[in-house]
Amino acid sequence: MVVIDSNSLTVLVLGLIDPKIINNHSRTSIYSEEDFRAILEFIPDFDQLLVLPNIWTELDNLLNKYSGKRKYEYIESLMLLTKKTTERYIASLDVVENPAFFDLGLTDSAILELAKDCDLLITSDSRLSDYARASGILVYDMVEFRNKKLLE
Amino acid sequence: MNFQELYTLAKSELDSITKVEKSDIRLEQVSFNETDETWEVIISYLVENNNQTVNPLTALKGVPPFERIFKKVLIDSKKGVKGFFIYEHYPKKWSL
Repeated sequence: MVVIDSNSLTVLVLGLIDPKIINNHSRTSIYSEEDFRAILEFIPDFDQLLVLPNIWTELDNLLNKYSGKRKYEYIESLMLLTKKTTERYIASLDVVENPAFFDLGLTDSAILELAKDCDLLITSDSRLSDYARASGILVYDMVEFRNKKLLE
Repeated sequence: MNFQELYTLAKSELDSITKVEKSDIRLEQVSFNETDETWEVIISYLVENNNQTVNPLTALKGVPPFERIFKKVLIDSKKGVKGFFIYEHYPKKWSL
């Protein structure tokens, strides 16, 4: 199973809507279609993708501000992904005592907890990536990938 | 300006301001303010965490032995650095 964080899921959803709009958002400004394609390569099947309810909420808070055609496309993509992916719940009480909570906050601490039982974490959050690697979790770090490309 | 130029400018400003040994300097986020034609660049880097309590259990709990610092750099369209700020990574700013 593969677990994904909010920002990476945003890149995925924007890519499904239209890869050209990925870099229109401040949180995903450094990414492009190449990063969207890379995410797809790490997800063999959408039912292998684990998403926390917290992540869906963060994503919806960002993208539900669309109007008109884009909003329709967003809802369509969200319906597809929520149907095909696997939603997993982690109780907040189980993560607030984790030492990572102080630095990562609730959602990312929950992702970290969930990732311990997964094959891969896809993240575009450098601090979450640092913590995950310190816990021995295999990470596809989108910021690292993008920065390597930048310096090539 | 492209991301590579913005990264280079932000990194050189960072190098001139802080002498702390740092590694894994990353471009995290970029946005352009059309009103004052300024680039807002977020960069991060790792430093040794000297404030961390020495606890032999820390490593077992998966806490990295280093700390990631985030900074915001404002760069104008003439490639001049106009500001260098502490950047709070959390709470995350979500906006369109």
